[in-house]
Amino acid sequence: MTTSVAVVDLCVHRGSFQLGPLTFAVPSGGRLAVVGPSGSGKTTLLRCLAGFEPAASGTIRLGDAIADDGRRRLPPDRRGLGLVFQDGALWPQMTALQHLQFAAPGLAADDALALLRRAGLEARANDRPGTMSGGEAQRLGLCRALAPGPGLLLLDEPLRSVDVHQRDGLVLLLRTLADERRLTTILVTHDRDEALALATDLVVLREGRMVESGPAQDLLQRPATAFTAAFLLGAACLPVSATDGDRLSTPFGTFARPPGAPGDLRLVLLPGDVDLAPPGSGPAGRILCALPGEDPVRLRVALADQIVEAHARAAPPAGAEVTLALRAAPRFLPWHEPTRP
Amino acid sequence: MTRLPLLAALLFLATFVLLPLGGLVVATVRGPDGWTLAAWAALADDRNALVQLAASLQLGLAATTVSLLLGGLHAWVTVGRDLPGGGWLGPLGVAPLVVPPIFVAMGFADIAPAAGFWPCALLLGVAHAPFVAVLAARGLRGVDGRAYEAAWLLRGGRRAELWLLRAIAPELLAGCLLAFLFTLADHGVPEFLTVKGKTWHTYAEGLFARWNRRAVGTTFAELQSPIVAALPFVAGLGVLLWAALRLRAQGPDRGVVQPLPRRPLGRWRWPALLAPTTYLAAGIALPVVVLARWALGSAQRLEPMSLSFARQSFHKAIDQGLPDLLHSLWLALGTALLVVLLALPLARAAARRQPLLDLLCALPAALPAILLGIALVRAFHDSPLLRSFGGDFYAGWGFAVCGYAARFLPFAALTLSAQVRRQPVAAEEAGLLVARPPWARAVRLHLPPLLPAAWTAAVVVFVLALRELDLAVVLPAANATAVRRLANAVHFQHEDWSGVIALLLLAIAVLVPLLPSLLAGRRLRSLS
Amino acid sequence: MRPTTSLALLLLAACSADAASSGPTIYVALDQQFSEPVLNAFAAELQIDLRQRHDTEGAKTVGLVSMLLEERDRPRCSVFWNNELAHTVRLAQAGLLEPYDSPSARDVPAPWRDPQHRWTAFAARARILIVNTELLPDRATWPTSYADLVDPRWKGRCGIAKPRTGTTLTHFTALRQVLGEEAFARFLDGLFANDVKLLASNGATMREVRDGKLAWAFTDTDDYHVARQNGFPVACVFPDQHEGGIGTMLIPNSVALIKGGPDPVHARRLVDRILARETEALLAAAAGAQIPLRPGVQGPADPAIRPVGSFRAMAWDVDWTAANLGRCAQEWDRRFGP
Repeated sequence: MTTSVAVVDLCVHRGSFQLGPLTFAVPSGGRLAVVGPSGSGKTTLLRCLAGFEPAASGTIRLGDAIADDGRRRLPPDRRGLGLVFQDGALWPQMTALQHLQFAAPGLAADDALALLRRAGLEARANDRPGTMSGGEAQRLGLCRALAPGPGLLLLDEPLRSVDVHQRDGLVLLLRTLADERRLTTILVTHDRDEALALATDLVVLREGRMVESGPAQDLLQRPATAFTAAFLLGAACLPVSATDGDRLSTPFGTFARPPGAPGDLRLVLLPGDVDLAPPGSGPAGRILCALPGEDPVRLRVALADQIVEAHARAAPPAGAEVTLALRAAPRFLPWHEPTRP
Repeated sequence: MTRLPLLAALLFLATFVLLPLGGLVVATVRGPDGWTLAAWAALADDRNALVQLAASLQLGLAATTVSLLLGGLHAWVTVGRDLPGGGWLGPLGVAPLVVPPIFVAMGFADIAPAAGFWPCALLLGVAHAPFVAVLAARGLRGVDGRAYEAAWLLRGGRRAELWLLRAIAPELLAGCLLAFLFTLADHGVPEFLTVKGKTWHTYAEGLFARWNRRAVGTTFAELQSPIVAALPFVAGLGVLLWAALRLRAQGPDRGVVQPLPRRPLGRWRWPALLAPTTYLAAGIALPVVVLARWALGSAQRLEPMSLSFARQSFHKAIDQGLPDLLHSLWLALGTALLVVLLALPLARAAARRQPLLDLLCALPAALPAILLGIALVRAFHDSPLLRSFGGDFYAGWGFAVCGYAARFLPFAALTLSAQVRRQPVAAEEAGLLVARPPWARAVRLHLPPLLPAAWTAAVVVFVLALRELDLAVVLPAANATAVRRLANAVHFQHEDWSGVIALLLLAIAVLVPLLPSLLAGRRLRSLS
Repeated sequence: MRPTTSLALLLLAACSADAASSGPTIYVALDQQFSEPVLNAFAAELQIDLRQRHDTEGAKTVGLVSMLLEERDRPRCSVFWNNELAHTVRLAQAGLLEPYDSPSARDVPAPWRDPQHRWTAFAARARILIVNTELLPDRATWPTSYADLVDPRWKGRCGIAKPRTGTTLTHFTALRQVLGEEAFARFLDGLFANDVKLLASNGATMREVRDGKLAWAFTDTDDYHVARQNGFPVACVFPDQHEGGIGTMLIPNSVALIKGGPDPVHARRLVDRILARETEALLAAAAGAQIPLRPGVQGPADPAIRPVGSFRAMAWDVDWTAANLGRCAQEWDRRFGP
């Protein structure tokens, strides 16, 4: 049975760090990724959902049950969820099979072995975690989380300690097993690709606050903040300064302030928004390297303290000074406070 | 149910440490005629107590310097060096811990005049050097070899060694603090040296002497004065302990490190052997040889040393001391078991929730055992609570075990709390998600990773309990121990069978912990 | 009751020494090596479960006495076997002892029995001079009196234990009464003036002589005897035997019943057994070489340890000594230091 998640005005205090207030919902069988840089509160949110951290205020509802409303708290083992930890967090003294049998009282050995087989760990059933690779350990962590048949699966950066060549296999396994069980999954990560591979909806966090949320495709196509554009799309965000009246000064010149835009704006340069231009026609940058591909040649160029991706017909040598120009009209976005609801 | 073990351990701490100690403090201001500060006021006039306190401090500093030199050098040249035989000399660093200080004193006193201050400092320094050796070795093994290599690369070999010294400073300090505390608390060795004509005294001796003579011509203030003198001192030691714990907490997390590279000793390779050989010779070989010579008849002049004399000594020893040896064995085993059972919940609580518990657990280490013993006797010899159980708990084995456990709890609690801190919290949290009763989580998840440390703690406590003399002379229930009988026997020139009992005691101290280790295929190094 | 609480109580009970079901308890100040085998034999003979508590040598008798006084309200001891007498008399004066007229004590000479039957003395040690025969090979040069301690001839070459505990405290307290306050004060001053080596115990003084660091010293016969048995070049002098001399002090063992102690019936039988003539003979034959107080009991084999009646014994007032022991200890504690 899958579990829906509803978080309303959730606040969590952890020392001087404050998370929230956050409000979001994940329907039964939905897949949500909570993304943000280190220190944004992703793991705190996950720990609060799992029951390891108390909510200071607000409500967490798992299915029909209130898991935490700031006063009463459902213990972790009664929330009916599974959690895949960052570094496995396996029990070093137990074999793979024992992990599953301990995690799921009453689980038959055959069923446990079947689950291990699905994860490609059948041959490791009697091995302890100390002898396993990062990928194997994470697979075992996943099996352990799934063994009791949870309605909700929480994933805490599951690919972080996994070698690059093992990641795809693990992603596919996660997707397959979650889809088969129609599991509601909530993933936290700072890795865009990991988020997009495993989730359909995103919540972007920054310094404990929600920057924006919505379907992943919407956020990718129309980020509402420069922060989201930078985080999800790798955009360079150049600070702008206001000159007299409604004019904004940027390295590329002065432009009119978009109507209704808030105070803290950034010039957002997505990959390919900049071309090389004749000397003197725009700001100067320095070539760092050329990316693979020929037409157009994609160049990484240092501009002030940012790196922008510029397109050109030919690749100047690394270190060469070049002039940049905007290909289209400039895109100004608020830094992290979205203007749309 | 989940909190029951912790509550039981806290109750034990309150009952066997805080309550007796509190009673002792109250007694210093509660005279026969009501509340009084007479004992505190009399301290300034009690020259003996102050002189003894000063002598103790001097002795502590001198002996700790010896321990630092011997133990520190041993670790320095045997860990990560190309010392010939370093592979087995290093782990042997823990071995002198099994030799009670009184045996070291017997050994030294047999070959040279040991009546003065410096001989006493030397032999106590030798006896407590293992604390420094073991902790320094642990520190060296905990240093990340890559960081050392970085220092070597940038600043050269000599500066890298200085860097290394700074890196293990917390462990060295902790070892020195233990050596210092044990030296200050030791009543047995200075008391033993009185038979050699010693003319100075320590405050632990003063405590014991006044305590024994409490009913013989002493006023309330005189009786209390050594205790009064000791209390601020104990508080000072408590602060030192706290500082050491803070220092340890600020140390780097040494979970996964690359071992130190093998550092060449160069032309000092062979001369450096002098450090471990001196350390082991003074700490083990000398006492063992002297004890063996005693058994062979070296302490009498009627007949030459011989194996037949040794046989007689052995028969006398079995005749005289077998019950005491067995009592010592059971007492030490009981203590080790109880201490580990108490330390496990305390260590978990200290590491995960209440760091201040570490200090509370460490408090008995700041107390001289004599003072702890006096406090326990005062609190319990006529306790209506214990009396209500019908039997005489105070006079039984159980009370002795509790007293010993109170004394040695710090070693296990601190060892285990350090081990708990090394365990990833996430693995425990993963257990919280499992629908199992708390005891199942405790037994299946929390306990197994702590077992190696628990075993180490149990062994250390077993050995320390086996060699404990100070508490044994104060607690009636612990009187019938082998070490106390030995301390008595040498007063009466019974060196022949005393030597045999001492050797048997050493054999127990080595074999009992070693047997399971060997059977389980664990190396001696794991104990250090 | 919760199962865990029950379990804790059960454990507590298991760890207890059950006083109700066991026999008497004896506190013994005599060296464990000598007393334990004797008491084990008595316990077997009387078929009693006897618990023994032996003193720590460092405590010098007073440890057990202090413990008995402390346990006054809850006596744990049935019988006190003291290796000297004055502290036992102190306990009697403090009202801790139960009168018992043991049939075994009928032939103990009168001065060594309490008229109120609270204690009985037996098997004594003598306060003697131990002499190193290599340093003083000529018997004619040996010291003969307590007064030799303050004789400038022996300046810095003789020793005695500090009179803070043990037999030396009893000796000095008795000496104070025998010599009178003035003479005794001069004697004390003389000790310091004559650079007498003041040591922590009689064992220490014996060792100093045995090892040739001192020419002679005051000690007890048992310490002398053990050194002699081990082949050291030592001799024993019973001091003050000259005409008009104060005589050699005898300090006997003493035994007493503790008021309210456990198992008084068996405790009495034990006292009877301890006071039997055979016990004195046993203690005389043991390494401690105690001197029997009763005539006709076989004494120590070493002829240097003389039987009662063959030497002039110091007449000391046991009650006065006991009553003044505390005052003297306090005074000398300050004078002699720790």
